[in-house]
Amino acid sequence: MTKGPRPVIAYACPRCGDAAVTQHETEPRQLLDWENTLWVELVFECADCEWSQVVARYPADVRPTASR
Amino acid sequence: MLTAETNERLARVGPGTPGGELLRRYWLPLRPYAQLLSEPVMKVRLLGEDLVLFRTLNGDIGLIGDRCAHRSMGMEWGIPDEDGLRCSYHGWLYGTDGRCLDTPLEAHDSAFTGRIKLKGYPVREMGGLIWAYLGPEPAPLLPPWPVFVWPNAIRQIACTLLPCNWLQSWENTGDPAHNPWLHGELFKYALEKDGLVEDRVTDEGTHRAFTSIRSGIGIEGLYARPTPFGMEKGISYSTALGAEFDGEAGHSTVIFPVMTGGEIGNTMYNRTQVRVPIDDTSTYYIHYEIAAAPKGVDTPRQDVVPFYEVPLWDRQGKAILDHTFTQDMIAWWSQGAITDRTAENLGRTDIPIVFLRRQLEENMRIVEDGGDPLNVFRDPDHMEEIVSQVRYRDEEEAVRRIGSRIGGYREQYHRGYWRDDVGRYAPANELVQELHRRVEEAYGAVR
Repeated sequence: MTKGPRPVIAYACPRCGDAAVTQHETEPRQLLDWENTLWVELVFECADCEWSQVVARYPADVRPTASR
Repeated sequence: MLTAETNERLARVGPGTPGGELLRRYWLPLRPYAQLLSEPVMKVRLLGEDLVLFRTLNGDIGLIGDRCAHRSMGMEWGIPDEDGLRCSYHGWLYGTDGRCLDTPLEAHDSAFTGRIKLKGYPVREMGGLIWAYLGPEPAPLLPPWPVFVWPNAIRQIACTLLPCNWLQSWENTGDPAHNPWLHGELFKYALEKDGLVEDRVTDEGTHRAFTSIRSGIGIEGLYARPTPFGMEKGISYSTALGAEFDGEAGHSTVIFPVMTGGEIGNTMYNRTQVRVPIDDTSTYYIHYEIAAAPKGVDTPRQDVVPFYEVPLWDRQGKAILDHTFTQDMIAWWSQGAITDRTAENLGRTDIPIVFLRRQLEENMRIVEDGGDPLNVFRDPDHMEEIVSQVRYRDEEEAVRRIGSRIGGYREQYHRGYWRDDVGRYAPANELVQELHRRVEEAYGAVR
């Protein structure tokens, strides 16, 4: 299930400096037409200005490696 | 072939082992900074040590022992505070250096805060990666290797976890001769098996599988030579043996002890591989890519260096073998958790591997004798030598070589990635595509 936006703790928007940056995951989608891996993207967005950036991309069934 | 003792000596990375003590003399990249922004507390393992990496509410980064000194609760469940990380059991607070700063439920005159300290290691951010130093104080300088600090460039970081010892991945960098088979015949076989040749191989003259196969023709020998920062190696070709030219073809350059990369300045692109030993039997593998703008072109704005996890398996559980990254991965992990080098039979293609092993051994001895090994820097004036070791020799030439040296440039331009490399998954490809558009605008169409 895709999570809703949640705040990025203590990270200010690099464009307007506002602290209200949130993150959310996109719906899983296929990236390449010949490969069936489904991908989600982690997106940072500022609530106060138009700034947003994809900061991570990973297969839907693989979490980013935080530990072993 | 190595003895079992030498194999252990070279491969083990834990505290007190010769290899572990050598690797503890270096700053090692731990995780992408962007990952810590999204997940401010995470459990990590580095060189066999379990640790917790965190970001305080003030934005400082800490790397400390993974258990609270009170009653050993895991600090990965901690809560970031302005000045450190609080254990979520009873609120004990630890600073970024591991010192206990507060024990809120204890008596006001408690001596805990002055006395208790967890492990605490220095960390820095460079090039979108968090770097850690686990060795003895004083910590050396963090070398500003050009790929991580080169200005006016787009960066992205591919990561994966390998279930094998780091040295297997490292020895691959001393093996320029694996290209014709692992990235050639296996690649071709994988495409044929999946019926993808027609779609994917538009030009055998430039496709990686076929150029790799041809790189195995006319080999006269291999060479390995020391450089100020590690090793250069490659293959010598002879037309008498069927090669297309007489001379040497360089492979990527080794930066001791864990990095391999090409020089920035030859083309817009640089890809650097970093093998981070997690413990004796697992490795965090980083494939770091930059696209640098030539003179007169500004890169599109990139505020955070993004990262991506490379899929090694498809949804049916089959290895994805149609790109070079996984081809390398299967070679390394199928050698075993720690490969048995007493069973190997080295040939002429392994000359650079022997060089790498000797270089490791020499530097382990330097550490055992109390010295600083290769690429440990304490003089800030030396940093300039690193930064200036490569420069754009000719900006326009760098752009032209994209067309002459890299097959499928037009496809790269329009898609923003190459189909046969791991970069096809990279999240900043739209920015790279925009950079190509700007280059073409400034320099004209690059063929």
